[in-house]
Amino acid sequence: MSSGPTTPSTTTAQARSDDDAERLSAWLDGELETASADPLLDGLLHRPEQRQRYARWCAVGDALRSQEVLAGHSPALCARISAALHDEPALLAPAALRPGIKRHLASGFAVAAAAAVLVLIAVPQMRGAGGLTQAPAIAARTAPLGEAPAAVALAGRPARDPRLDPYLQAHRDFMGEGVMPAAAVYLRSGGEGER
Amino acid sequence: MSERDADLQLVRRVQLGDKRAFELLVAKYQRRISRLLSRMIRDPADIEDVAQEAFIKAYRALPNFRGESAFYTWLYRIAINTAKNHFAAQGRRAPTVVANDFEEQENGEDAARMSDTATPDSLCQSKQVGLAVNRAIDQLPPDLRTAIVLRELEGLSYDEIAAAMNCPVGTVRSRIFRAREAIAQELRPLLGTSEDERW
Repeated sequence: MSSGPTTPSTTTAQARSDDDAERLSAWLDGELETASADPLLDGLLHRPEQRQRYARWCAVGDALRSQEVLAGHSPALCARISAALHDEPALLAPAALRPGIKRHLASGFAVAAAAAVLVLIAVPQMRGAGGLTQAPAIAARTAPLGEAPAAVALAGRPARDPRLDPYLQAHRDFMGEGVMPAAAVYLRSGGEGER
Repeated sequence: MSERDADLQLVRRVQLGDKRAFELLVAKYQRRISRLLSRMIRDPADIEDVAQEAFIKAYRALPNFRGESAFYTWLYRIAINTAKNHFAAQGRRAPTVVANDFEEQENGEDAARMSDTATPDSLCQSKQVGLAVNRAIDQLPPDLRTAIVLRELEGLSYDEIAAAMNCPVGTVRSRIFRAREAIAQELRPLLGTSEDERW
């Protein structure tokens, strides 16, 4: 311990340094809030003593977890890699951001494609389903059972033999409401039309 | 925030052009990568060459790193591939069993624990490290010792350590910091670091 005189300013500076170091230790463990990590990281990157401290603590962690890992410690290797890095160009921000932008664009296209599918396929089917489900009722009104069989042509629909209606009704009752009721009606109607 | 997020913050800084942030990642993972490579490569000089190449490859590929996996997992795979290329360049094949072992392991920690390729020299070094670490831990006050062991060996969060030690989280933070400083001081001769060194 230093036995020299201490002034309030040196004490304050020491306390601040200790506090920074303590926060660095917490950040190393992932225990610092993200918001307060950025200024700390600036200090870490710009202050050599903080970088040395960080490196020592990483070595301490390795030493505690595995003696063999620490035996592989090589300050010379770190220096070599550092020297090799000097010859490398600094990475540019646009390159770093590109993947993120691509991802956002991709998700935007996905949303647009989903909306297009909804508009072009699902909505017409839903509209069609309402009209088609009313069709049997119209057919029943226009061709009640017991009347002479006659081909009834509804607007835009081919005529069919009304004697088939009980059979088709029984078929519908048997099928019930499936997971795609609108599509089921469409398929049934298509089949009926072919007859 | 997690330890993985802390690495990711450094990665983001590198991606924005700060090479010093990458040096911090090197300082953190150099030993684990060297240990990993020593399982595949015998010659210590070759290990250093391949480790350096792996880190530089990682730096160049960093713009494509999206953080979908942990930085170390990503670096670990680059190191394995660099070692395989090293063998290919020499017209040899990577030791099959060892390479497969590594590829099956997502966590490099497990690989680092395997010691069947240890040399007498590395065993001696490990023994020295072990003695120094034990001495450093023994010299710690009990509260500091418990806190650092729960953190570094058991991997507990600060909240969990606070609950286990029945003290505030702030106290845990302070104890872990002081324990780290004390152990680092004890290991300083072994690490070959001095105050004026870059790392």
